[in-house]
Amino acid sequence: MTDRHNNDNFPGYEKIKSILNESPDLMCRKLEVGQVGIHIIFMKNLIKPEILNEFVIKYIEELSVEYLHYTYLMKNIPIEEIKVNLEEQEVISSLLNGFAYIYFLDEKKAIIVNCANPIERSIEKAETESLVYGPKISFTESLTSNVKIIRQNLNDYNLCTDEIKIGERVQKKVRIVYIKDIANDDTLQTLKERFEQLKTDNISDSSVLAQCLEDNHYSLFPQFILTELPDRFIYSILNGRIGVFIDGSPVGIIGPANFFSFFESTEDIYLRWSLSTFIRFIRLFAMVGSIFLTAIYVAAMTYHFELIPSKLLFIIGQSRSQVPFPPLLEALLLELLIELLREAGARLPSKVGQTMGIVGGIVIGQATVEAGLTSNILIIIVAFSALGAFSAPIYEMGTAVRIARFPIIILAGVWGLNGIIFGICILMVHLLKLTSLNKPYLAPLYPLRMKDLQYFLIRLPHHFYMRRPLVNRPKDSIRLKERLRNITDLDEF
Amino acid sequence: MKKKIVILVCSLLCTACMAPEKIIEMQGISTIIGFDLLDDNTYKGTISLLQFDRKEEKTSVTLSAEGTTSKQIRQKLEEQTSHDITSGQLRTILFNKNMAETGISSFLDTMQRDSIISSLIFLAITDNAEETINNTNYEEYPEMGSYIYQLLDKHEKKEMLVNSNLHDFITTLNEIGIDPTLPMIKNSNGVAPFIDGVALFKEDKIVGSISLINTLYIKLFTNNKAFLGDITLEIAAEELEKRGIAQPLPKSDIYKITLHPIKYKGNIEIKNEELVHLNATISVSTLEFQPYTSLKNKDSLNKMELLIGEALNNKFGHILEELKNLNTDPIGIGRKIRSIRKYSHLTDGDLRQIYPALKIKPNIKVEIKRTGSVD
Repeated sequence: MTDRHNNDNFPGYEKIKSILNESPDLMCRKLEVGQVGIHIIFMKNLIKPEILNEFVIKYIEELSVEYLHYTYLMKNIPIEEIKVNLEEQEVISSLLNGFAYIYFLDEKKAIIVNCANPIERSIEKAETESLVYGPKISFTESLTSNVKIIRQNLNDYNLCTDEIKIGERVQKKVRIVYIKDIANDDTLQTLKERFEQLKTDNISDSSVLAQCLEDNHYSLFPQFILTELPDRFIYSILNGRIGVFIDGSPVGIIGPANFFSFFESTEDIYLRWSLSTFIRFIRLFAMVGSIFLTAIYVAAMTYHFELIPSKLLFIIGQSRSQVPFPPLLEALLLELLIELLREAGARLPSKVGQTMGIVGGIVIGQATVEAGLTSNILIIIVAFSALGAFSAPIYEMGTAVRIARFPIIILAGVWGLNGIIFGICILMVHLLKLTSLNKPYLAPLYPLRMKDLQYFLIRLPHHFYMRRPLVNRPKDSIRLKERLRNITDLDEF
Repeated sequence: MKKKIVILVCSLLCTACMAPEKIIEMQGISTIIGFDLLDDNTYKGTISLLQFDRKEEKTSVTLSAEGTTSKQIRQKLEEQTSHDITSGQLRTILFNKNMAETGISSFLDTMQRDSIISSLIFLAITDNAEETINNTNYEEYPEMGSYIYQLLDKHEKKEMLVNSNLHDFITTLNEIGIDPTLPMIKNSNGVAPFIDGVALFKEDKIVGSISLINTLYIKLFTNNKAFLGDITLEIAAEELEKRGIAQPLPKSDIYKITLHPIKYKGNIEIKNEELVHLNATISVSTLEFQPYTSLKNKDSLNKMELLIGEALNNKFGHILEELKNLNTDPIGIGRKIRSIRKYSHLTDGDLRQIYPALKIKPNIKVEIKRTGSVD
C-alpha cells in the first residue's frame, strides 16, 4: 500500500484526457485555495451538479488552508462513497461511472468521490408478468434499487447479496442473492464457479447472463427462471433457490429451476388452494396440448383416420374436403401464420397491436377457411395451441413450447403417431438428462419425491406447507418449527 | 456421433414400420358393408362411403359389385371410385338371410384376419343387404352405416343383445356346446331400419329367430348383468280367482301386468345326463297393472309371485321346446354339461345328438321387491 503512495500513480488531467480520447464531456475545475492547487475532474453529464457544488467544491473552498491536504480531505469529505489507492484503469472506469476525481497538484495524490447521477426509471407495475392479485411492484434497471426492494421485503440478516463484477470491456456489477442458512452450499458454489468460468466481453441483459450460465446451451428449454416480480424472486429465495441481479436489467434470474416451476405463478399462493390447483393443472394440460394437439391432428389426418370417433369423422372430413394441401403443409402454414401474427403484434405499438390481433385472428382466419386453404377444425386447434403456449407464467417457457411444437408436427407428418411417440421419447430423454445448476430438471417427478409433488403439481392449503421443497436441497428444510413440533408424526407432511 | 447413429437407426426402423399415407379426404371411408347371395356362389357386396364434399347434397355414396369372394368384391368396388376404399371406420357387416342359411364363417374368417377391421365390428342379419344400405331413412345421421352402428351400439351398450360383434360371434361359434345369435335388422319402405328379433344359429347357419323381448330367457343364463327389459304378462282372471288373490274392482277377463327386473341370478343345474334344471331368481318391481289391482296384502303378494313365476316358466318351456326342435343351444347348456368332468369327453357331435332329447326344466322364481315405487 505505502509504495503505491510513493509511486506517481495518479494520472493528471492531461493524461486522463488523452486516455478518454479528448472527450468533450470531460471537465476539469481548477481550484486554487491559498497555495494549494486542486483539480476536480469529472464527466459533465454523469455527475449530479448539486452534489459536486455543495459537498465538494464548496466544502474545499471553505476549508482553511492548513487542512487542505490529501489525508484530511480523505478522512473528512462529506460524501458517503470515496475511493483511494486506485489503479489508473479504475480511475478511468470510476470517472465513467460518475465519480469526481480530486487531484492534489503538489502532493500528486488523489481521491475519488461519488457524485453519480444514474438515470433511473421509477418503480412501476410489471409488464411482462401480470398478476390479478398480489403486489404489483416490479424490478427496475437499477441494481441498487432492486436490492433495496428485496431488502425491504425480506428483512432477514441472513440475506446475502454477494457482489461480483463480470465483463472484460464493459464491467457490470452482479449480485448473487440468497439466504445463507437456507440456500444449498453446493448449488451456490456451482453458480460461483460458473461466474468464474464466464469470460465475456459484455453482458447486455440478465437474459443473456442466464443463457451464459446454463448447464446445456443447446437445449430448447430455459434452465433459469427470469422474473421481474420481486414477490416471485423472494418466494423462490425463501424456498432455497439463488437469485442473481445484473446492473442494467429489470429482470432477476432464479436458479436452480425445474420444469414445473415454470408453470407456477406467485398468484397460485395468493388465490385459494382449490382454484390454484385447478389452474396449475390447466396450465400443464395446456402446455401438453399446445405441443401435441396440432401434431395429433396431422397424424390422424395423414395416417390414422381410424382413430377419429365416427361422429367427429364426418365433421372433420367435411372441413378437410376442399383443402388443397396435405395436412402437414396445412398445419405448418397455419402455425407459421400464427407465429407471424404474434411477432408482428409484438413489434407494433400497443394500440396498433390490438388492431393487428383482430385483423389476424378474425379476418385472416375467416378468409383462409372460406378460401378453402385450411380446415376450420385446424384453426380451432392452432388457436388452442397458441393460447396454451401463452398460458405459461414464464414467457421463456412459452417460447420453448412454441418451438418444441414444430419438430413434433413434422415428425407427425412424416411418420404419423409413431413419429409423435418418437418425438416424445427424444423430448423425455432430453428433459431427463437436463439439469439446472446440476439439479435435475424434471424433479420432483424424476427423481421422484412424493413429498415435493404438493409444491409443484398441486397447491394445498397453506398449513400443509411446513417444509421447504426438497428438490432445492435447502440447508434448513423446516419452515415452521413450532407447528411441526406439535405434530407427532413428522413424516405426515 | 453415437447419438446421431442411434437417431438414424431409430428413424429407419420407424419408417420401415410405417403404414402408407392415408390422407383423410382421399379415402373412401366405408362404414357398412352388406353381402347378398345371388345364385351359384356369386355374392353381391354393397358399401356405403362417406361423402365429404359440402357442395353435394348427399352425404354418402353407395356402391355395389358382384364377385365370388369378399376380396374380389372389394377389388371391383375399388374400380368404381376415385377414392381408396378403406375399412378403418367399418362398423357393421350385414348378411342377407339367405346367405346366412348357407353359412357365413368363411366370410368372417377373412374379416377376422384383416388387421384393419376391428374385431368389435357389429354383425347383423337382414332380408336384403343392398336395399337396407340404400334406404335413405337414417334419422339425423349422415348415412346408413352411422345409423345402423348407433342402433346396434345402443342395444349392445345396454346389454340387450346376446352376441352382436365379430369377436363374440367367432368365440361363441368355436366354443363347443353353445351357439351364437345375431341381431336381425328389418328394412321396410319409408322408415329407418330397425331391430326385429334375434337370429338363432346352428353352427354358422341361421335356423330360426326369436323376438328381442324373449332373449331375456337366454340372457338370464349367459350374462349376469344384461338388461332384461320390462316383462309384460297376461294372466287370466279365473287364475286370480282360483288362487284367492284380491280382485280388482272393475272386472275384466284378462289382467296384464308389467314388471321391471331389478336384479337376477341364473344357474344351469345338471341333475343327470337326461335332466337339466334352469334355475333363476328375478327380483322385480311392479310397474303397471291393467286394470288396477292392489297388492297390499302380503299373502296375495306371495301368491302373485308364484303365479308370475309359473307364467314365465310356461313361456320359457315353449321357447326351450322350440330351441330343441331347431337343435340350437344359445343358452350354452351343452357347455355346462361338458364342464362336468365325467361328461368332458363329449364332442360337438355328441352334444348335438343329446340336446334334442334332453329334459330341460325351467325353474324361474320371481320376487316382487317393490310395488308402487315412485321414480
